[in-house]
Formats: sequence, C-alpha cells, structure tokens
Amino acid sequence: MALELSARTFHTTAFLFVLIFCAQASLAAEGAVVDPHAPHVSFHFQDKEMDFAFGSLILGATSAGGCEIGEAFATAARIKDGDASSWQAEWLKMAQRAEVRGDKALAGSHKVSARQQLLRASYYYRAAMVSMLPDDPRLTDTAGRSRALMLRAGQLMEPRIEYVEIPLAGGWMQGLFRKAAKGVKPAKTLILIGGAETYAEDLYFFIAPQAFARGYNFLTVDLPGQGLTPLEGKVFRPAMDAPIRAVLDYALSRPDVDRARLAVYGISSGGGFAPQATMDEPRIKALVMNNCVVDAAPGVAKMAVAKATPEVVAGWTSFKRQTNQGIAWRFGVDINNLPGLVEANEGFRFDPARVSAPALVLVSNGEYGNEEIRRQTALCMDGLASAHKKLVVTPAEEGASNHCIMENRSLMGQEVFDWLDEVLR
Amino acid sequence: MKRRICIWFLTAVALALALPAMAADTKKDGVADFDMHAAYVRYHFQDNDMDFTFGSVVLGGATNGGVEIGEAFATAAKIKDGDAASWQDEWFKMAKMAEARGEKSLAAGHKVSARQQLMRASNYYRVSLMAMLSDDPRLAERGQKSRELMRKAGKLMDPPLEYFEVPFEGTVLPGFFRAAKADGKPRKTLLMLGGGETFAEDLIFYIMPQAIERGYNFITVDLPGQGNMPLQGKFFRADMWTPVRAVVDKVIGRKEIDKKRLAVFGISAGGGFAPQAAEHDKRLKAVVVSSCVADAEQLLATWSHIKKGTPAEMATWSTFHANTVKGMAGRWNVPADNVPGLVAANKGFSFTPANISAPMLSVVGEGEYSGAEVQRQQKLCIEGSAKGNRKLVVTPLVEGASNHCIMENRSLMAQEVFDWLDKALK
Repeated sequence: MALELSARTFHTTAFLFVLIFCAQASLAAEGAVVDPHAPHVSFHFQDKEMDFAFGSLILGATSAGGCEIGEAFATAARIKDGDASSWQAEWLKMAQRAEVRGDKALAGSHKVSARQQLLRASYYYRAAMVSMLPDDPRLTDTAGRSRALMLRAGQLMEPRIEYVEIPLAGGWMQGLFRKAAKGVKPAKTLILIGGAETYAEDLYFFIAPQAFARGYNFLTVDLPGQGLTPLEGKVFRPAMDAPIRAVLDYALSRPDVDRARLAVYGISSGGGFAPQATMDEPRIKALVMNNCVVDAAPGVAKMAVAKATPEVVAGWTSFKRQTNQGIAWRFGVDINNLPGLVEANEGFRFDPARVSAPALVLVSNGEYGNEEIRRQTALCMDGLASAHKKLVVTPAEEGASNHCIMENRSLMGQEVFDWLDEVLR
Repeated sequence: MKRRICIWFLTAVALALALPAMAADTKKDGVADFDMHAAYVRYHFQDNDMDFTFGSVVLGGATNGGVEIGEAFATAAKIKDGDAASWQDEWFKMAKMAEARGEKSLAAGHKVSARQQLMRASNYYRVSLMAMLSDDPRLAERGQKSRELMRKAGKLMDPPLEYFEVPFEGTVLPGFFRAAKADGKPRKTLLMLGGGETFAEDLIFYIMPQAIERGYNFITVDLPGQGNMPLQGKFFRADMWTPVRAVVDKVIGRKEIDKKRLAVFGISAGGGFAPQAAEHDKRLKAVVVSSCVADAEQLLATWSHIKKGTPAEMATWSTFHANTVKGMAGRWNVPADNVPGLVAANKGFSFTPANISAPMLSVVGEGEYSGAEVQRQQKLCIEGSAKGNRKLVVTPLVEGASNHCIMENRSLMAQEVFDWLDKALK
C-alpha cells in the first residue's frame, strides 16, 4: 500500500511537471498561430480538435437543450481519442437512442418529453457529421435526419419553428424561423449568420432559446457554403453579402418582424459575412460580430492549414484532418490541398468605414491573445463608421475563452442581448 | 516537435496513473459493495467522490440553468484533485463572478440575463458548500447567500418562484413554490423531496423547469437534516413523514393546487422519505422515488465507506471524500469521528410497502441498480403492492443515465417521471 502510494505520488509529480512544460509550449505557440479550434480549457480528449468539438460545440449546447451531460460523456467514453470514424459511429448510435426515446414519448402524447428528446437527437446526428468527409455516403442521410428531427421538435413548440426557403439566384436557401410570441405583432428580430462549418441547427442551439426568452424572433439559414449546400455546388464566395441581403428581404416581408428593430449577428467566418452585408445597408439596425473578421485571408494564412502539406497532414489525427478537409470542401478547394484555403479566402473582406449601424464586437479572451485577431479587432473598431460601437473581451476565468464563446452561451447571450436591448429600444 | 514529445509523455504517464486506478475502481464497484457516489462515467477528476459531484451534481444541472459548461470547466481546471478546500475556494470565486454579472444586468433592467446569471451564482455558492464540515462558519454564510440569490432570481420568473416557511417544532422549514401558470387555476403539483445531502436549491435545479414546462406546480423544502436545518438542531429522524405532513398542511389550501393530483417525488434518502410520507398521508396521490429505500439502515450497512469510516481510515482518504462523508454524518447528529454510527442512526428509517395505496414509480440508474442491496430494496417496494400499480424503470448506462438519482441526465429522468405521472394523475 505504502509502496503503491509513493509510486503514485512520483507519477503525479512527473505528470504535473510535464503538464506545466507542455502548457507553456502551447501558450508560446498560440500567440502567432491562429487556431479557431484551440480549446483554452480541457474537456475530455487529448486531441485538441476533438476536444474543442466535444467541449465547445456539443457540451456548450447543453444550456440550449442540444445535449445532456450523461449522454455526452457516455458517448465520449466510447470514442477513440482523435479517431474520426469512432466519433461518427458513437454519436450516430446516441442519436438513434435519443430519437427512439422521442418517438416513444410522442406516441404516448407526451409532447414536452418528445420535444426535448427529439431536439437532442437532432443535434447528435449533427454532431456525428463533424469530421464526416464530403463523399461519405452517410452525410446526406445524417444531415436529413438532423433537420427533420429539428422540424418535428419544432412542431411541438409554441410558437412553432417554421421551415423557410428563401430564393437566391434561381435556387433556395433553407432556414429556420421562430416567432417570439403568438400573433403577428411586430417584434425585435435576430438574424444569426454562421461560419465556415455551421449548419442551421448549430445556430439554433447557439442562441435561439435565449432569443425567445427575451422576446426576439429568430431567423437563421444555411448560406451558400454552409449546411449541405456544397453538395449542390454552392460554396463560399467573396460576396457573402448577396445571400444575406436575400435573407433580409425575406425577414422584412414578414408582418411579425419589426423593421425598426432588426439585428444581424455573425459568428466565426460569419463575423466577416455579417458586416459585409451591413455595408451601406440601412435596413440592419444593429450588428454583432463574434469576432470581427475584416479580412479573412491574412487570418487563414496564419492558421495551421496554410502550411498543411500532405506530409504535415499525415501526422494529424483523422479527426483533425477530416474536419479541415470538410472546410476546404466548403470553399471549393481540393480536400488534399488545404493550403489552398488561403487563396480561396482572398476577397472575403469588408470595409469598416462603410458600416454605420451600431456595432458590438465580442472576442473571447482566448482568441484575443492572438496577434492577428487583435490586429483585425483593432482595424474593425478603429474603422467602423458606427456612432455607437463597443468591444467586449470575455474573460477566460469565467470560462468564456473559446472560439465564439460557444462553451458559455449564457454569458455570451447576456453580452449580446443586454447590448441589443439598449440599441433596439 | 516539443509538443509531440509532450503528448507521448503525457499519454504514457496518464496510462501509468490510470491503469492501476481503473483496476481499483472495478474492484471497488463490485456488486456487493454499495457506493452511492460511484461515478460510472469519468468526467474530470480522479477522485471518485469529487468526480461524481462535479459530473452529476454540478454539470448535470446545466440543462436546468444551474451551470454553464465553460464556467464549470474553468473552475475545475483550477481545483486540486480531491482537495476540499480548493474546491470550496474556486467555486466561491466563480459564484462571485456570476453574481456580479447578474447584478450588472439587473441594475440595467435586463431581467432575463439577470435571472440566468443569478441562478447560476446561487448554485455556485451552494456548490462551494460541498465537503464542508458541520462546524464550518462559512456554511451558514454561503448557504444564506445562495438562498438570497435564488429568491432574487425567483422574482424575475413569470410566474415568480415564491419563498415560504412552514412553522415546525419551534422553528421553520424553508421552501419554494412555483405555479405552473399565473392564472391561479388548480393544476397537477409535484412536491419534490431531497435526500441526505441536499439543499432546496438543488431540487430546483434537479427538476423544476421540467415540471413547470409540463404544467405542474412545483414545491420543495428543506426538511429537518437538509439545507442548514442542522444548524438549528433539526436533524434527520425516523419519522420524516411528520415534517412532510406539515409541509402538505401548509400548501394544500393553495388555489393553484389540484388536491386530486398532488404527487411526491423523493431522491436519494428521499426515496425512503417520500413513500413513508405517502404511507401516513393519503393526500399524496402518486409517489416517485429514485431509488426506493425501503429500509435505510440495511442499505447503509452495505455502504463500505460508512462501515469502514473510522478516523484512522478516513485519514487516508482525500479531504473531499472524507469531509463529504463526515458532513453527511452531521446531518444525522452523528459525530464526525463516528461515521460508522450512521448505520445505527438510520434505524427505523423505513416504511411498509403494503401500506401504500397510491401508484408508485421507482426510477434507478443502471449503475446504481447493479448493487445487490439496491435491487433487493426495489423488489421489496415494487412487489409489496396488492394493486399492481407500481413500476420499476432502470435507466441505461449506454444512454448516460447510470448514476445516483440519474442526476447526469435530467431530461431522460424527467421523461420517465413525467410520462408516468401524466398517466397516474389523469
């Protein structure tokens, strides 16, 4: 017993020592390299990419009903660290289990129970798609299930979630709308714009329940490049303002949307798309960016993908490799040419001087530690023509340090809506 | 390169640490040995008791607004594994930060933001009380703070969460009531009872939002032994049905309560209190337990941490584990240096299953159900009915619903509880 204890103590000491050494190594590296998926707090996995997806994207959605703690950890316990196929298989299994529960509750007319389990089932199918390659035969089916479950759950809400299709250049953008309250009384409206990896479902779980609780209508769509749109050949293009303006047209056609109180909020790459659409656009009454991306290409040039030659990529975990390949696909870049993402992001920029709507820039402390992020934030804050503009850096010590502050949506919601409430009076 | 060496070294050391620990866990979690706080899935800490508290009690509250993921993990990252003082200090710091956020929103009139942050602040003060010894002066101070913040947040709800007090044997039992809707119409009502370690606030985060959403009024209280009642000399006692009856007397006249549809749900030790109360009080029309405790003395006798909890043995435990067990003993008025005395102190904490006429549901996590004594007690409860109106549900490990009171999956727990209650209270 005594021997075992002392061996344990020695191991623990050695472990802590190496941990401190490694933490310093990674901190030193973080200053220069832009890594949107850097987990500034460790959740479960050693693979950083997987840990970010698990902690920020999935666990972070718990307060919005996208995840249950026990389910997430039971799934995580079965996933092989860093392994894409294991991640996908385990989330698919958990999605099916939650779906069965939801169906059972629905068959028994227990609507609240059904809605809650179906919402989680929707999000677990979505979780399974992280790191799923574009040519994976399961991709379409899994995305379809995720969306269908979201809409089924949405039927059990009051008011319901409406599935919307918004015309764009001869095609359609799919989206979700939910009214703040019954009736057609015009209400404040939040349009949420996602980034380079989002599905409309991510955006629902990012903030929709918080919007409803505060009396805001909520609208989000899959812009070209998002969701499954790349399967139709639609990829991200430098002019993201055109599809967003089409979303504005749609929103303003609704009698329940108050024209004087319309806000657009962009996260991740959407932190560049949203302000681009706000340039010379008087219909947007308030703009939120998390964070502000004035010019995407120089940022991408500082990410790991910029130097991700096939030899480098061969050293990555399958989860990291495939997650990044999925992003390339969305920009129309060959998945075996990740450095091509830098060139593909040329022209994804906006001119802050042409944005005059009141603007809020949110940056998590973890991201703000990066030079390039600081540079872009300064360009943005200095350049915005807005008479009313504000920068909020959310603190690491409050667990609000990751990309888009996904791991603390209550705190993020507080910053966003407390500001919007004052701007959209 | 430096980073890659780190990863290899970390992995090797982590394995060297984890393998013997895992082997030990398997041995400890054997069927004969009941450990109420066994963690069937690892969340963050190597200390089992701390990991259970972190994963099930704290993280499990995220669904119901008790915690935010980022805040929980930022706090956990600063806590020394197994160290009670470190746990208490770090949660206290996080509580103050969340409180400051809530107050800031409130001052500016942002009620939803204020409510959300104040609720979490209330919970973080509460969480900072874990593993605190009975004579720690911070117990009263922080318990009070947690309650004040809950009451403040409660005023920002619609309908509001009301605080009330039940006169009882020279003191009062503090409680909370929230109506499902503001219209004052009589509705189904859930009276929620905690266990050997709970504060009323825990029960709010355990299930209140789920009850309200389904159209149930919600009531919970600190019974003798719970919350800070021991500071007033009120400890757990064999006739827990007496204080529960006083609570029912106090609330039953409220116009929002449909007298024909009042259910009681008890978790942990409350899995004995709730059916005992129903045995003596026919106003309780349905009983839910997680899990059923037909005889607490016999159950505790199988819990090795208590049997072996001599001062010499506890000196080898982590402070978090030892103080958690000592704190619990204090709630039965058992001295901290006589933890094994908890078994005898539970003499008479029982009920007669045959005397309960109301329908009864027992919900047990698969992990907890693996204990032989837990199984035996469920059998006693479920089979002791003449009417056949009892049901046992074992929630699956594979769905992350295996821990004590299924605290880590409150959506699934609530589905089982309310889908059953909806029928039982038709």
